[in-house]
Parts: sequence; C-alpha cells; structure tokens
Amino acid sequence: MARGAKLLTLGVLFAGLVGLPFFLTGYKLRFVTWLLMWVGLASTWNLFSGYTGYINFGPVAFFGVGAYVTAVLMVKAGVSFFPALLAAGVLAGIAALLLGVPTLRIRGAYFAIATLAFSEATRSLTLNLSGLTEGGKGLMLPIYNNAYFFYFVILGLTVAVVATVAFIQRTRFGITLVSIREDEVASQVLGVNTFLNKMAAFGLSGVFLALYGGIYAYWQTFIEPGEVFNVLYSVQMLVMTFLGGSGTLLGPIVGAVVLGAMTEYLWATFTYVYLIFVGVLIVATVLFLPDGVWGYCVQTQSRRRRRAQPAPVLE
Amino acid sequence: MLHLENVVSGYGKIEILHGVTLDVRTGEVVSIIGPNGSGKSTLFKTVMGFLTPAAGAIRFDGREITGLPPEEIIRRQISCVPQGRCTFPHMTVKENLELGGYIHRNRQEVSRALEEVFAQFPILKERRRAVAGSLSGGEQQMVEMARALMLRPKALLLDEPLLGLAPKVRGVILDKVLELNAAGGTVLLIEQNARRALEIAHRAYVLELGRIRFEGPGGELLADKKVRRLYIGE
Amino acid sequence: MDWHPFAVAVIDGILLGGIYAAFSAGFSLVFGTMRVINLAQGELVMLGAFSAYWLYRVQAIDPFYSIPIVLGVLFLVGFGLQKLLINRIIAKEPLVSLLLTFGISLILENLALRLWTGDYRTITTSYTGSRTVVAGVTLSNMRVVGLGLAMLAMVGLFLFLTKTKIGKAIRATAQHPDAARLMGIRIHQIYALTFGVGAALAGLAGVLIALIFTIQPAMGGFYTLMSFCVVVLGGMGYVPGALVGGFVLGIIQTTSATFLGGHWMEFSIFATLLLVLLSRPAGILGKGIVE
Repeated sequence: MARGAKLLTLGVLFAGLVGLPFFLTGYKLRFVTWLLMWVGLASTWNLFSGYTGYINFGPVAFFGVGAYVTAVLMVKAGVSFFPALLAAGVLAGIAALLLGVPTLRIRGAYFAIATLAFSEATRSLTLNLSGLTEGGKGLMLPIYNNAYFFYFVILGLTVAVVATVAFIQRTRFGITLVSIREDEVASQVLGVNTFLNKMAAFGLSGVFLALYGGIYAYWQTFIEPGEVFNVLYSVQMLVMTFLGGSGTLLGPIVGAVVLGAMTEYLWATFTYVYLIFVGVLIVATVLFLPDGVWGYCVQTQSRRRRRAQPAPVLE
Repeated sequence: MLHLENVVSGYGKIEILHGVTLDVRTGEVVSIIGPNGSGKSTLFKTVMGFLTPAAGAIRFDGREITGLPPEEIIRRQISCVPQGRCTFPHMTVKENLELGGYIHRNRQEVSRALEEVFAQFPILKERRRAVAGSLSGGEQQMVEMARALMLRPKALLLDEPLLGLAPKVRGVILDKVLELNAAGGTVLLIEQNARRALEIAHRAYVLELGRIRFEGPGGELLADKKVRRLYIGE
Repeated sequence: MDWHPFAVAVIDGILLGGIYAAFSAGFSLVFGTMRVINLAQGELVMLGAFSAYWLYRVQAIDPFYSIPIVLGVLFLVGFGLQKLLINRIIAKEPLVSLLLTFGISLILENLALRLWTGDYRTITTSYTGSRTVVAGVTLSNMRVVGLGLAMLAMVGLFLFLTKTKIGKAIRATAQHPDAARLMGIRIHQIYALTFGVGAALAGLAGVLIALIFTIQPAMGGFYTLMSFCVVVLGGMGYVPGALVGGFVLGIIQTTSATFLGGHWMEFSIFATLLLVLLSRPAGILGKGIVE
C-alpha cells in the first residue's frame, strides 16, 4: 500500500475509534473497551515474546501487580488515579528488570516455566499478604462510573502500545530483538549485547502490562488475586498473539479481535465449552497454522511474490 | 549392488548434489573422496534416507530405496557407520551391540551375531561392560563398526571413519574394512583422507562441488598426477 | 514416644512424595526421550483418578483392582494422543509441544468439567479411614499403600527401561535418535509408546490420589505444576531423579503447611520451583537436560 493511502486509512480508523463511543451505550461500549484492552495486552505480550522468541508464560503477573499497586495506593494511601497508575508502572518496570536479571539468562522452555512459576508465586504472595491487599476478600476501589473515561484511557494506551511496536519494528532495536529469536548465539558472536536488549523489551512490556492492570482495577472497581493474576489471562494473551501471528504488528490485533469476539459469543452461553473450543483452536493453530492467521496471510503474499522470480541456483 | 542414478539432493532450497551417478558392485570396496563442502555428507545422508533426493533414483540389491526412511533402509540389509560419535553414550558396549541386532527376529540370532562380532573385535569383548561414552575415539568407532555388522549387512557405508583418529588407530580401522571385504562384504567408503581411501579401494570416485569429477580404479587415481595434486596435496 | 512435628511432617512428605515421583517419572521420561513438555500431565492424572472413581461408583470395582484397567486405558489414551497429534510436531522445539499439550489439557479439563461437573468426589471404601500406629506415629494406611504401589511402579519402570528390548530402544532413542533409526528402530512408534507409558504411570498415580484425597475435574493444573517442580528438582529428563524430586517436594509441601500455614504452602512450592530454575536448572543432582 502506498504511504499516502496507509496514512489515510490510519487516520480514518483513528477518527472512527474516537467517535465510536458516542454511538454505543452500556454493554456494547463496555465490550468494545474490553476488546481494545485485549488488543493492547496481546500486542504488549507480542512486543517481548513475539519478537525475541522468549515465551513469557506469566505476563499476568505484571498485570496483577499493576492492578494491586494502583488499588492499594488509591485505597490505603489516598493517592488519586493517575499518580497511582504512574507509580504502578514504574514499580512494575523495576520488578521486571529485577526479574529479568536472573531469568533472561535461561532459554526456551525453562524460561517459560520460570515465568509461570513467578506468576503463580506472585498471585500466592498477594493472596497471603492480606494485611496489605485484603487477600482473598478482594479490594474495593473508589467508584468511578464514567464509561467514556475508561474507553479513551484504554484507547490511548493501546494506540501507544501499537505505535511503539510499529516504531520498534523499524529501528535497530527491533531488528536486534528478531535476531535474538532467530539465533541468539550468532547475535552475541557478532557483538550484540543481547542481554540489555532483552531487558529493555522485557521491562517495557512489564510497564505496559502494569498500566493496563491499574486501569482495569479502577474500571472494574473490585479486584481479587484470583482474577487479576489469573493464568488464563496469560494464556489468552499468548493464544491471541499466536492465532494472529506472533512477531508481526497486526497479528495480535487480528487475534485479539477474533478470539475476543468468539469469547463474548460463547462465554455467556457455554462456559466450559468455550474453553474446550479455545483448546481445539490452540491445537489446530499449532498443527496447521504455526504462523497464525495473519502470519499465514503474510507468507502467502510473499510466496506469490517469490513465484514471480525464479530461485537462484547455487553455483 | 548399490546404484545411484542422477541423484539431486540438498537441504530445502539449497541444492548440494547436482546429479550424481555412481555404482558399487558386489564384493567391491569403493571410495568417494573430495574436499570439504563437496557434498560427501549430503551423499551419505541421502543414501541412508535422512534426506530425500529431489530427483534421481537409488537402487540397492535390485530394489528401489529412494525416499525410504533410515529405519526401512536398514531392513534391506545395508548398514552404516555415520560421521562423528554415534554410539549410545550411556549404554554399555554390549547393549550398543545388541541394539545393532534390533531387527533380528529372536534372541538366538542376536547372540550368534554378537559372538561373531566379538570374534572379529576381541577388544570389544574385553570391554563389553564399559559404558560407551567413556571409551576413546578409536574404540567408539570400533563399537560403531561392530554394531553395524550385527545386522549381517550385505553392504556397509562408512562416512569419514578416520576423522579425528590417531594414525595407528586409522590403520586398525582400515584393516577391519579390508577384513570385511575379504570375507565377501561390499563397502562404500566416504573419506576425506584421500590417500588412504584410494589405497584400499577397488574403484573410486572424486566428488567435487556436488558432481563426480573423476572415477576409476583406486590404484589409477592414486597414481594420477592431477588427482595427487588436487586431493592428496603433492 | 512423642514425635517432633517436623519429623511427622517429613514422614507425611515422604508418603506423598512417592506418588508425586510416580507420575513425574513419566513426565521426565517423555521429555528425555522426545523433548516434549507435557502440560496435560495433570489431566492424565485426573483421568486416572476419575476412571477409578466411576469404575467404583458404577461397577463397584475396588479401586485396587481397577489399577490394571486404568493402566491400560490411560496407556491407550497417551499412545493415541502421541500418534495423532504430538508426533506431528516432534522435530520442533519444546516450546511448540508446550503449546500443543496446553491446548490438549484445556480440552481434557473442560470436557471433564462439562461431563462430570465441578463437584468434589471421594472414593469411600471399607478401608478408607484405616490407620496403623507404628512407633507412636499414626499413619494413614492408604498413604502407606499408595507409597508402596508407587515405588513398585517405579521399580517396574526401571526394569522395563533397563531389561527389556523395547525399554532399551526407548533409551537409545533418547540418547541418539538418528543412531536409533539406523538400528531399525521406528522412532515414531517408540515416541507413541513412551508417551503411553508416561500416561499409564500418570493414571496409576491418579488412582492412588483418588484413594487418598478428594478429586475434581479441575485438579489437573495443580498436578501438572507439581510434575514440573519434581522434574526440575530431580533433573529434567533424568528419570531416577524423579524419586529425589518427588520426596523433596513432598517434604517441602508438608513442612511448609505445618510450619507456615496452609496458605503459604502454595507459595513455598512456586518459590522453590523458581529458585531452582534460576540457580540450578539441572536439578539437585545436576543430571537434568539443560538446553
């Protein structure tokens, strides 16, 4: 697509998103807000895991940390929303960097399991520190019922995330991340400080996740550890990205919209069946569409382009 | 016995062998020599079924084996000693050898084959309880050869058997190859050590950049000035 | 004799640990042989537990007698899963198997929830609550028998892997798959068999668990995580390590429950897993496979 046409499409899309809430009410508005949040969450997950290839199985940990830091500051220290949210982001960033130091040294499946263990440990910890967090009873935040407020805050954050990914894709940072996924050792041999790059991406994704968590907490007004540290949320981020195509810009967006819509449709009617369906979807994606829906489209496009030129013969 | 007809093979889109035709007749020792990168490993992997040729055919003992996986090719009684250490490192010498006889129908056949192999490689009989991974390079190579022979194969392929071995040990390995041949076995030897490979070969081929460049009786190629200059370095 | 609570906790831990070792051994075997991480392991345990439960409820088959049936059924389930689904992604990295088996675990868990509801079930037989007092310590008979059977299963597995032709073929495939193929071993069959064996062990552990605890269809997740802990502690892919890992984990579980309180037990387990992964990924014995 030509540059001009691309900008025009983006502009129209943006205008549409800005104007949308004024045409929707109640349930539908909440649904679109929720969907936008998941587009952002999936893209955030993709920012680190999709590009570096380090599969983070516990992103919900940062989401939950963001939710609880925001909530505790607002409820117990009387801090107002935006400063509390900011603090949550900063704290999560620091936590991500601290976690990253020991964890980013290990690879592949072990990294995945370590992040899962961290996520579950954090959930358990939050549950047990009931003096601070009210534990299993849950924490009630100050009520703020402005649906438009939350729509625009989430829209803003999601646009920021997508823009960040788009920007990173074009910079050396982005290429370095991909090189880590393709062949980390080769990268290191070429002098790339893979550790710092991984840390940067990991920290950034941690901050974004926490910001979403904080907004979610204020939006839902009531949180408890089992929900904001729910492993299934991690799974959803992962599945949405994989379904759409990890390591691409649009992949997570496509995946989030598709899976999100399906969830809404199936959840209310058939609780367990929805999860069976997700399971089948994961199995099918792994077996038949390892590059995800969007990834598959990208591949077909490049395959068509390649067929136009004959492959060079190796002399 | 083994016939390759215009075999084209490689890894994905990268073509390494550009149409190789060669023969190994029953009872012969045939050597394939050539510099690094000429496609010797690819040739080995293609014959043994780890790679499927993009074009061409491979026939063994009159039957087509093109595209069969290794576990099926073995069942046609063609056995091999691949490059590098291929023993089962955490199992004993005896267990390694017994696995060589995996496709035999019953225990008696395996025991008989084991006895024969122990007779040919007395050192291995001595060290039969040793864990394979603790043996020296030369000893492991012998385990692999003996293991390949457990199959009672009609033909034996060896991929760079002398790699990384001390000169004396190399001599031992080559002696074994000649013993085998003297007993009626057919051998295809793929080897970078051109001189030794040509010395023991009835016939030989020179593989370079994925194509057969020279072929002829081993002695002839050994004496040929061009071959000596290019591949033996004199 | 009045036993110090720590000693009691340790004994309890050992009793549990045996069962953990049993189903984790299968997990380790599968990883060691095919580099597959089976996130559906807990669900296989759950299936074993529920098979025993339904056989008892509907056919009044004593759980101990249902063991052979469960072993057979779970073996077939595992064999089938491997043959139909997992074998397709064998050559790829373990991460792919993680995703695939996770999908399978979602399907199994929620299918079970749909069919049997989330209700908690127990198997109550004539001997359920029986206890024995040994040297002043009260031991639950079920737990002792559970440990005994679990150990028997481990011995059986050991003999299978070291003395039988197929067992050796499995080990050969784990040590050098290409060389194994050159022996004529059909490695895809071996993979299916291995997974089947792992599933059968999980099923056996499930029966034992059903005899000791209450069960419900969502129990799988906990046991999968336990498998991870055991296997990481004992060394990924190192089957004998599962014994060490199982006992250590059992003891950690019971001692943290006794001294820190029930809530902290969960945290202790996750924290242990994380610490071991970060400091000694090859496990306590240092024999695990680290990529």
